[in-house]
Amino acid sequence: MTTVPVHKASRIAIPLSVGAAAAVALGVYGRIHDPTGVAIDIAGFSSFRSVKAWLATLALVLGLLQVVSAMALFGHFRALAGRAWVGPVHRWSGRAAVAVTLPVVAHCLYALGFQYGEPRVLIHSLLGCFFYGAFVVKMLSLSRTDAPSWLLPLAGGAVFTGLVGLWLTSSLWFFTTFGIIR
Amino acid sequence: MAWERADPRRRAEPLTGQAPGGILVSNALRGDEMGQRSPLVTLAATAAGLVVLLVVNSTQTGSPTPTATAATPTSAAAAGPTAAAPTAPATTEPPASATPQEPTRTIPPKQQQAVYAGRTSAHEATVAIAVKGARAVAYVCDGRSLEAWLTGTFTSGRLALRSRTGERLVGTVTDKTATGSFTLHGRTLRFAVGLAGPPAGLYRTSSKSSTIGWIVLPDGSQVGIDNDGTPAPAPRLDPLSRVATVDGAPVSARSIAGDETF
Repeated sequence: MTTVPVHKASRIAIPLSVGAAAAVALGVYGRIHDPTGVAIDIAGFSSFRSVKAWLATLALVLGLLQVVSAMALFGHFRALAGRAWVGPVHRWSGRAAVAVTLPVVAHCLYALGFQYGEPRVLIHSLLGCFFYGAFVVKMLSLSRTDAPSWLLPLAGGAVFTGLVGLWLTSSLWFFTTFGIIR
Repeated sequence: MAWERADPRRRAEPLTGQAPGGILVSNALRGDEMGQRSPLVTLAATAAGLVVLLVVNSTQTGSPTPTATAATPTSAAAAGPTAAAPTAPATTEPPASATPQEPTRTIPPKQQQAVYAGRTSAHEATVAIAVKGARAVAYVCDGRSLEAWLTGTFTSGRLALRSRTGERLVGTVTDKTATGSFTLHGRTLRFAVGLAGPPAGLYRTSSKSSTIGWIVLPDGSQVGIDNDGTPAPAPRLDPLSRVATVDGAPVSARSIAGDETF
Protein backbone atom coordinates (compact mmCIF):
# COMPACT_ATOMS: atom_id res chain seq x y z
CA MET A 1 0.00 0.00 0.00
CA THR A 2 3.01 2.24 -0.10
CA THR A 3 2.39 3.22 -3.72
CA VAL A 4 -0.83 5.06 -2.88
CA PRO A 5 0.75 7.98 -1.00
CA VAL A 6 3.51 8.11 -3.59
CA HIS A 7 0.95 8.36 -6.36
CA LYS A 8 -1.03 10.93 -4.37
CA ALA A 9 2.08 13.01 -3.89
CA SER A 10 3.29 12.68 -7.48
CA ARG A 11 0.06 13.91 -9.03
CA ILE A 12 0.72 17.26 -7.38
CA ALA A 13 4.50 17.13 -7.12
CA ILE A 14 5.18 16.44 -10.80
CA PRO A 15 3.34 19.49 -12.19
CA LEU A 16 4.66 21.69 -9.41
CA SER A 17 8.27 20.60 -9.75
CA VAL A 18 8.27 20.89 -13.55
CA GLY A 19 6.76 24.37 -13.20
CA ALA A 20 9.37 25.32 -10.62
CA ALA A 21 12.12 24.04 -12.89
CA ALA A 22 10.76 26.13 -15.78
CA ALA A 23 10.68 29.25 -13.57
CA VAL A 24 14.23 28.68 -12.35
CA ALA A 25 15.46 27.97 -15.89
CA LEU A 26 14.05 31.29 -17.13
CA GLY A 27 15.62 33.16 -14.22
CA VAL A 28 19.00 31.51 -14.73
CA TYR A 29 18.91 32.24 -18.47
CA GLY A 30 17.96 35.86 -17.73
CA ARG A 31 20.89 36.13 -15.38
CA ILE A 32 23.67 34.46 -17.35
CA HIS A 33 22.70 35.69 -20.79
CA ASP A 34 24.43 38.99 -21.41
CA PRO A 35 21.65 41.55 -21.91
CA THR A 36 22.08 43.20 -25.26
CA GLY A 37 19.90 46.24 -24.63
CA VAL A 38 18.50 45.88 -28.13
CA ALA A 39 16.24 43.41 -29.86
CA ILE A 40 14.15 43.13 -33.00
CA ASP A 41 11.84 46.01 -33.68
CA ILE A 42 8.17 45.94 -34.56
CA ALA A 43 6.97 48.51 -37.05
CA GLY A 44 4.36 51.05 -36.07
CA PHE A 45 5.54 51.69 -32.56
CA SER A 46 7.89 54.31 -31.21
CA SER A 47 9.98 51.78 -29.34
CA PHE A 48 9.98 48.16 -28.39
CA ARG A 49 9.17 49.15 -24.83
CA SER A 50 5.86 50.60 -25.96
CA VAL A 51 5.22 47.47 -28.02
CA LYS A 52 5.77 45.45 -24.88
CA ALA A 53 3.53 47.70 -22.79
CA TRP A 54 0.69 47.27 -25.29
CA LEU A 55 1.16 43.54 -25.78
CA ALA A 56 1.15 43.07 -22.00
CA THR A 57 -2.06 45.11 -21.83
CA LEU A 58 -3.61 42.87 -24.48
CA ALA A 59 -2.49 39.82 -22.50
CA LEU A 60 -4.10 41.28 -19.38
CA VAL A 61 -7.42 41.79 -21.20
CA LEU A 62 -7.28 38.21 -22.47
CA GLY A 63 -6.35 37.13 -18.94
CA LEU A 64 -9.51 38.77 -17.60
CA LEU A 65 -11.47 36.85 -20.24
CA GLN A 66 -9.71 33.72 -18.97
CA VAL A 67 -10.90 34.30 -15.43
CA VAL A 68 -14.48 35.01 -16.51
CA SER A 69 -14.67 32.01 -18.85
CA ALA A 70 -13.06 29.75 -16.23
CA MET A 71 -15.64 30.86 -13.68
CA ALA A 72 -18.35 30.12 -16.23
CA LEU A 73 -16.92 26.64 -16.77
CA PHE A 74 -17.00 26.05 -13.03
CA GLY A 75 -20.67 27.02 -13.07
CA HIS A 76 -20.48 30.41 -11.39
CA PHE A 77 -22.52 32.27 -14.01
CA ARG A 78 -26.05 31.06 -14.57
CA ALA A 79 -26.34 33.13 -17.74
CA LEU A 80 -23.40 31.32 -19.35
CA ALA A 81 -24.35 27.86 -18.14
CA GLY A 82 -24.66 25.34 -20.93
CA ARG A 83 -23.05 27.45 -23.60
CA ALA A 84 -20.88 25.12 -25.63
CA TRP A 85 -18.62 27.94 -26.82
CA VAL A 86 -17.34 28.81 -23.34
CA GLY A 87 -14.79 25.98 -23.38
CA PRO A 88 -13.28 26.87 -26.77
CA VAL A 89 -13.30 30.56 -25.83
CA HIS A 90 -11.38 29.76 -22.67
CA ARG A 91 -8.86 27.58 -24.47
CA TRP A 92 -8.23 29.89 -27.40
CA SER A 93 -8.16 33.12 -25.41
CA GLY A 94 -5.62 31.45 -23.15
CA ARG A 95 -3.48 30.39 -26.07
CA ALA A 96 -3.73 33.88 -27.53
CA ALA A 97 -2.81 35.44 -24.18
CA VAL A 98 0.30 33.30 -23.87
CA ALA A 99 1.18 33.90 -27.52
CA VAL A 100 1.15 37.69 -27.13
CA THR A 101 3.38 37.45 -24.05
CA LEU A 102 6.05 35.57 -26.01
CA PRO A 103 7.55 38.56 -27.89
CA VAL A 104 7.51 40.43 -24.57
CA VAL A 105 9.33 37.76 -22.61
CA ALA A 106 11.77 37.18 -25.46
CA HIS A 107 12.68 40.87 -25.37
CA CYS A 108 12.84 40.87 -21.57
CA LEU A 109 15.12 37.85 -21.47
CA TYR A 110 17.25 38.75 -24.44
CA ALA A 111 17.66 42.49 -24.16
CA LEU A 112 17.25 43.13 -20.44
CA GLY A 113 17.76 39.91 -18.46
CA PHE A 114 16.97 39.22 -14.83
CA GLN A 115 17.71 42.44 -12.97
CA TYR A 116 17.26 43.55 -9.39
CA GLY A 117 18.52 47.13 -9.32
CA GLU A 118 15.30 48.48 -7.83
CA PRO A 119 12.22 46.92 -6.19
CA ARG A 120 9.96 47.28 -9.21
CA VAL A 121 12.49 45.58 -11.45
CA LEU A 122 13.18 42.81 -8.94
CA ILE A 123 9.47 42.10 -8.47
CA HIS A 124 8.96 42.15 -12.22
CA SER A 125 11.83 39.75 -12.84
CA LEU A 126 10.60 37.33 -10.16
CA LEU A 127 7.00 37.51 -11.37
CA GLY A 128 8.09 36.88 -14.95
CA CYS A 129 9.70 33.60 -13.93
CA PHE A 130 6.75 32.78 -11.65
CA PHE A 131 4.19 33.45 -14.40
CA TYR A 132 5.65 30.91 -16.82
CA GLY A 133 6.27 28.43 -14.02
CA ALA A 134 2.60 28.68 -13.02
CA PHE A 135 1.59 28.38 -16.66
CA VAL A 136 3.55 25.12 -16.95
CA VAL A 137 1.86 23.85 -13.75
CA LYS A 138 -1.54 24.72 -15.16
CA MET A 139 -0.94 23.02 -18.51
CA LEU A 140 0.43 19.91 -16.80
CA SER A 141 -2.37 19.71 -14.26
CA LEU A 142 -4.89 19.96 -17.12
CA SER A 143 -3.31 17.00 -18.84
CA ARG A 144 -3.58 14.78 -15.75
CA THR A 145 -6.93 13.24 -14.92
CA ASP A 146 -5.67 12.29 -11.46
CA ALA A 147 -4.81 15.83 -10.36
CA PRO A 148 -6.80 17.04 -7.35
CA SER A 149 -9.67 19.34 -8.24
CA TRP A 150 -8.18 22.34 -6.43
CA LEU A 151 -4.91 22.28 -8.36
CA LEU A 152 -6.31 23.65 -11.63
CA PRO A 153 -8.08 26.74 -10.19
CA LEU A 154 -5.07 27.38 -7.96
CA ALA A 155 -2.64 27.21 -10.88
CA GLY A 156 -4.93 29.31 -13.06
CA GLY A 157 -5.29 31.87 -10.29
CA ALA A 158 -1.51 31.94 -9.87
CA VAL A 159 -1.02 32.56 -13.59
CA PHE A 160 -3.51 35.41 -13.53
CA THR A 161 -2.03 36.91 -10.35
CA GLY A 162 1.39 36.79 -11.96
CA LEU A 163 0.08 38.48 -15.09
CA VAL A 164 -1.57 41.30 -13.13
CA GLY A 165 1.63 41.83 -11.13
CA LEU A 166 3.72 41.85 -14.30
CA TRP A 167 1.40 44.36 -15.93
CA LEU A 168 1.46 46.65 -12.88
CA THR A 169 5.25 46.60 -12.69
CA SER A 170 5.78 47.17 -16.41
CA SER A 171 2.94 48.52 -18.52
CA LEU A 172 1.29 50.65 -15.83
CA TRP A 173 4.71 51.95 -14.82
CA PHE A 174 5.52 52.64 -18.47
CA PHE A 175 2.24 54.44 -19.18
CA THR A 176 2.45 56.54 -16.02
CA THR A 177 6.11 57.39 -16.62
CA PHE A 178 6.09 58.09 -20.34
CA GLY A 179 2.39 58.64 -21.01
CA ILE A 180 0.10 56.53 -23.16
CA ILE A 181 2.25 56.42 -26.27
CA ARG A 182 2.17 54.09 -29.18
CA MET B 1 -26.30 23.14 -14.50
CA ALA B 2 -27.55 23.38 -18.03
CA TRP B 3 -24.17 22.91 -19.72
CA GLU B 4 -23.86 19.47 -18.20
CA ARG B 5 -27.28 18.52 -19.46
CA ALA B 6 -26.20 19.55 -22.91
CA ASP B 7 -23.68 16.76 -22.88
CA PRO B 8 -25.45 13.50 -22.12
CA ARG B 9 -22.19 11.59 -21.77
CA ARG B 10 -21.46 13.42 -18.55
CA ARG B 11 -23.13 12.51 -15.33
CA ALA B 12 -24.79 15.40 -13.54
CA GLU B 13 -22.60 15.98 -10.53
CA PRO B 14 -22.00 19.09 -8.50
CA LEU B 15 -19.13 20.99 -10.04
CA THR B 16 -17.82 21.98 -6.69
CA GLY B 17 -17.38 18.34 -5.73
CA GLN B 18 -14.07 16.60 -5.29
CA ALA B 19 -12.41 14.74 -8.13
CA PRO B 20 -15.34 14.22 -10.53
CA GLY B 21 -16.16 17.90 -10.71
CA GLY B 22 -12.54 18.72 -11.35
CA ILE B 23 -12.35 16.17 -14.11
CA LEU B 24 -15.52 17.47 -15.74
CA VAL B 25 -14.15 20.97 -15.80
CA SER B 26 -10.79 19.67 -16.97
CA ASN B 27 -12.48 17.95 -19.88
CA ALA B 28 -14.27 21.13 -20.84
CA LEU B 29 -11.08 23.17 -20.57
CA ARG B 30 -8.98 20.63 -22.36
CA GLY B 31 -11.26 20.29 -25.30
CA ASP B 32 -12.45 17.04 -26.70
CA GLU B 33 -10.71 17.32 -30.02
CA MET B 34 -7.30 16.42 -28.70
CA GLY B 35 -8.12 14.90 -25.37
CA GLN B 36 -5.49 15.01 -22.71
CA ARG B 37 -2.66 16.08 -24.96
CA SER B 38 -4.07 19.46 -25.93
CA PRO B 39 -2.50 21.39 -23.02
CA LEU B 40 0.80 19.64 -23.65
CA VAL B 41 0.68 20.72 -27.28
CA THR B 42 -0.04 24.28 -26.13
CA LEU B 43 2.89 24.06 -23.73
CA ALA B 44 5.23 22.69 -26.39
CA ALA B 45 4.11 25.34 -28.88
CA THR B 46 4.73 28.06 -26.28
CA ALA B 47 8.21 26.77 -25.52
CA ALA B 48 9.02 26.43 -29.21
CA GLY B 49 7.73 29.95 -29.86
CA LEU B 50 9.94 31.36 -27.15
CA VAL B 51 13.02 29.56 -28.45
CA VAL B 52 12.31 30.75 -32.00
CA LEU B 53 11.94 34.35 -30.83
CA LEU B 54 15.19 34.19 -28.87
CA VAL B 55 17.01 32.75 -31.89
CA VAL B 56 15.49 35.40 -34.16
CA ASN B 57 16.58 38.04 -31.68
CA SER B 58 20.12 36.76 -31.58
CA THR B 59 20.39 36.68 -35.36
CA GLN B 60 18.78 40.10 -35.84
CA THR B 61 20.69 42.19 -33.37
CA GLY B 62 24.15 42.16 -34.86
CA SER B 63 25.61 39.04 -33.34
CA PRO B 64 27.07 36.79 -35.99
CA THR B 65 25.73 33.55 -34.49
CA PRO B 66 23.70 32.67 -31.43
CA THR B 67 26.56 30.56 -30.15
CA ALA B 68 28.94 33.48 -30.30
CA THR B 69 26.55 35.57 -28.23
CA ALA B 70 26.18 32.80 -25.75
CA ALA B 71 29.88 32.10 -25.48
CA THR B 72 31.26 35.58 -24.91
CA PRO B 73 28.85 36.79 -22.26
CA THR B 74 28.93 33.56 -20.31
CA SER B 75 32.64 33.82 -19.79
CA ALA B 76 32.40 37.54 -19.12
CA ALA B 77 29.46 37.18 -16.79
CA ALA B 78 30.89 34.19 -14.99
CA ALA B 79 34.29 35.75 -14.54
CA GLY B 80 32.87 39.12 -13.61
CA PRO B 81 34.21 42.50 -14.60
CA THR B 82 36.89 42.60 -11.94
CA ALA B 83 38.24 39.18 -12.78
CA ALA B 84 38.21 39.99 -16.47
CA ALA B 85 39.99 43.28 -15.91
CA PRO B 86 43.57 41.98 -16.08
CA THR B 87 43.00 40.52 -19.55
CA ALA B 88 41.67 43.79 -20.88
CA PRO B 89 44.20 46.20 -22.30
CA ALA B 90 44.70 48.70 -19.51
CA THR B 91 44.57 52.25 -20.72
CA THR B 92 44.01 54.06 -17.51
CA GLU B 93 46.24 52.10 -15.18
CA PRO B 94 49.72 50.65 -15.51
CA PRO B 95 49.35 47.03 -16.66
CA ALA B 96 51.79 45.64 -14.10
CA SER B 97 49.47 45.84 -11.15
CA ALA B 98 49.74 43.11 -8.56
CA THR B 99 46.20 43.41 -7.26
CA PRO B 100 43.74 43.65 -10.11
CA GLN B 101 40.89 44.94 -7.94
CA GLU B 102 42.66 48.06 -6.80
CA PRO B 103 42.61 50.13 -9.98
CA THR B 104 38.87 49.68 -10.31
CA ARG B 105 38.15 50.67 -6.76
CA THR B 106 40.04 53.91 -6.25
CA ILE B 107 41.15 56.79 -8.40
CA PRO B 108 44.91 57.04 -8.47
CA PRO B 109 45.38 60.55 -7.08
CA LYS B 110 48.22 61.47 -9.41
CA GLN B 111 46.34 60.63 -12.57
CA GLN B 112 42.85 61.82 -11.55
CA GLN B 113 41.37 59.54 -14.12
CA ALA B 114 38.26 57.42 -13.86
CA VAL B 115 35.19 56.27 -15.73
CA TYR B 116 31.74 56.15 -14.17
CA ALA B 117 28.86 54.34 -15.82
CA GLY B 118 25.31 53.31 -15.06
CA ARG B 119 21.67 53.93 -15.80
CA THR B 120 19.74 57.09 -15.11
CA SER B 121 17.54 57.00 -12.03
CA ALA B 122 14.36 56.18 -13.94
CA HIS B 123 16.25 53.94 -16.39
CA GLU B 124 15.50 56.16 -19.38
CA ALA B 125 19.08 55.98 -20.60
CA THR B 126 22.61 54.95 -19.75
CA VAL B 127 25.32 57.43 -18.79
CA ALA B 128 29.08 57.10 -18.91
CA ILE B 129 31.42 59.83 -17.69
CA ALA B 130 35.17 59.71 -18.23
CA VAL B 131 37.21 62.10 -16.14
CA LYS B 132 40.89 62.86 -16.77
CA GLY B 133 42.67 65.72 -15.09
CA ALA B 134 40.56 68.83 -15.50
CA ARG B 135 38.66 67.50 -18.51
CA ALA B 136 35.70 65.18 -18.79
CA VAL B 137 33.71 63.45 -21.51
CA ALA B 138 30.23 62.07 -21.05
CA TYR B 139 28.03 59.95 -23.26
CA VAL B 140 24.32 59.52 -22.69
CA CYS B 141 22.49 56.95 -24.76
CA ASP B 142 19.36 54.85 -24.65
CA GLY B 143 20.56 52.18 -27.09
CA ARG B 144 17.85 53.01 -29.62
CA SER B 145 17.57 56.56 -30.78
CA LEU B 146 18.70 59.02 -28.12
CA GLU B 147 22.33 59.90 -27.67
CA ALA B 148 24.57 62.81 -26.76
CA TRP B 149 28.31 63.26 -26.58
CA LEU B 150 29.29 65.94 -24.10
CA THR B 151 32.65 67.46 -23.26
CA GLY B 152 33.68 69.99 -20.67
CA THR B 153 35.53 70.70 -17.50
CA PHE B 154 36.08 68.94 -14.22
CA THR B 155 37.17 71.29 -11.47
CA SER B 156 37.18 70.65 -7.73
CA GLY B 157 34.86 67.69 -8.03
CA ARG B 158 32.29 69.35 -10.25
CA LEU B 159 31.39 68.47 -13.80
CA ALA B 160 30.12 70.99 -16.33
CA LEU B 161 29.67 69.48 -19.77
CA ARG B 162 27.93 70.48 -22.98
CA SER B 163 27.22 68.81 -26.26
CA ARG B 164 27.43 70.42 -29.68
CA THR B 165 23.68 70.24 -29.93
CA GLY B 166 23.01 72.01 -26.66
CA GLU B 167 22.45 69.26 -24.11
CA ARG B 168 24.00 69.90 -20.72
CA LEU B 169 25.28 67.68 -17.99
CA VAL B 170 26.22 68.86 -14.52
CA GLY B 171 27.25 66.77 -11.58
CA THR B 172 29.62 66.01 -8.80
CA VAL B 173 32.21 63.27 -8.67
CA THR B 174 33.54 61.42 -5.66
CA ASP B 175 35.91 58.45 -5.47
CA LYS B 176 33.19 55.93 -6.14
CA THR B 177 30.20 57.70 -7.67
CA ALA B 178 29.17 60.43 -10.05
CA THR B 179 25.80 62.07 -9.48
CA GLY B 180 24.05 64.79 -11.37
CA SER B 181 21.58 65.55 -14.08
CA PHE B 182 21.42 65.67 -17.84
CA THR B 183 19.14 68.09 -19.63
CA LEU B 184 17.83 67.42 -23.09
CA HIS B 185 15.04 69.29 -24.85
CA GLY B 186 13.90 70.71 -21.51
CA ARG B 187 13.73 67.29 -19.91
CA THR B 188 16.00 66.41 -17.03
CA LEU B 189 17.32 62.93 -16.42
CA ARG B 190 18.96 62.37 -13.05
CA PHE B 191 21.66 59.86 -12.46
CA ALA B 192 23.85 58.39 -9.74
CA VAL B 193 26.36 56.05 -11.31
CA GLY B 194 29.29 54.09 -9.96
CA LEU B 195 32.91 53.66 -10.87
CA ALA B 196 33.39 51.34 -13.84
CA GLY B 197 36.71 49.58 -14.34
CA PRO B 198 37.74 47.84 -17.55
CA PRO B 199 36.30 46.16 -19.51
CA ALA B 200 33.40 48.35 -18.41
CA GLY B 201 33.73 51.86 -19.70
CA LEU B 202 33.07 54.20 -22.56
CA TYR B 203 34.06 53.31 -26.13
CA ARG B 204 33.84 55.21 -29.37
CA THR B 205 34.68 54.85 -32.98
CA SER B 206 34.15 57.38 -35.71
CA SER B 207 34.50 57.43 -39.44
CA LYS B 208 33.65 60.06 -42.03
CA SER B 209 30.07 58.93 -42.20
CA SER B 210 29.21 57.72 -38.74
CA THR B 211 30.06 57.72 -35.06
CA ILE B 212 29.38 54.80 -32.77
CA GLY B 213 29.39 55.03 -29.01
CA TRP B 214 29.16 52.18 -26.53
CA ILE B 215 28.78 52.11 -22.79
CA VAL B 216 29.81 48.83 -21.21
CA LEU B 217 28.46 48.51 -17.69
CA PRO B 218 30.20 46.70 -14.82
CA ASP B 219 27.62 43.89 -15.03
CA GLY B 220 28.76 43.18 -18.58
CA SER B 221 25.73 44.64 -20.32
CA GLN B 222 26.20 47.27 -22.96
CA VAL B 223 24.26 49.89 -24.87
CA GLY B 224 25.34 51.77 -27.91
CA ILE B 225 24.21 53.87 -30.81
CA ASP B 226 25.44 53.93 -34.37
CA ASN B 227 24.79 57.42 -35.68
CA ASP B 228 25.24 58.10 -39.39
CA GLY B 229 22.79 60.97 -39.30
CA THR B 230 20.02 58.68 -38.10
CA PRO B 231 20.69 57.13 -34.68
CA ALA B 232 20.27 53.36 -34.58
CA PRO B 233 21.20 50.62 -32.11
CA ALA B 234 24.90 49.86 -32.35
CA PRO B 235 26.22 46.41 -33.18
CA ARG B 236 27.64 44.51 -30.27
CA LEU B 237 31.13 45.49 -29.16
CA ASP B 238 33.39 42.81 -27.79
CA PRO B 239 34.60 44.66 -24.69
CA LEU B 240 37.81 42.66 -24.45
CA SER B 241 39.04 43.00 -28.03
CA ARG B 242 37.08 46.27 -28.55
CA VAL B 243 36.05 45.13 -31.99
CA ALA B 244 32.57 45.36 -33.45
CA THR B 245 31.31 44.18 -36.79
CA VAL B 246 29.78 47.03 -38.78
CA ASP B 247 28.27 46.14 -42.16
CA GLY B 248 30.31 42.95 -42.20
CA ALA B 249 33.65 44.63 -41.52
CA PRO B 250 35.44 44.65 -38.19
CA VAL B 251 35.77 48.09 -36.63
CA SER B 252 37.88 48.76 -33.59
CA ALA B 253 36.80 51.21 -30.95
CA ARG B 254 38.94 53.21 -28.58
CA SER B 255 38.40 53.65 -24.91
CA ILE B 256 37.51 57.20 -23.94
CA ALA B 257 39.80 58.50 -21.22
CA GLY B 258 38.20 61.88 -20.58
CA ASP B 259 40.50 64.46 -22.21
CA GLU B 260 39.28 63.98 -25.78
CA THR B 261 37.53 66.63 -27.80
CA PHE B 262 35.10 65.91 -30.59
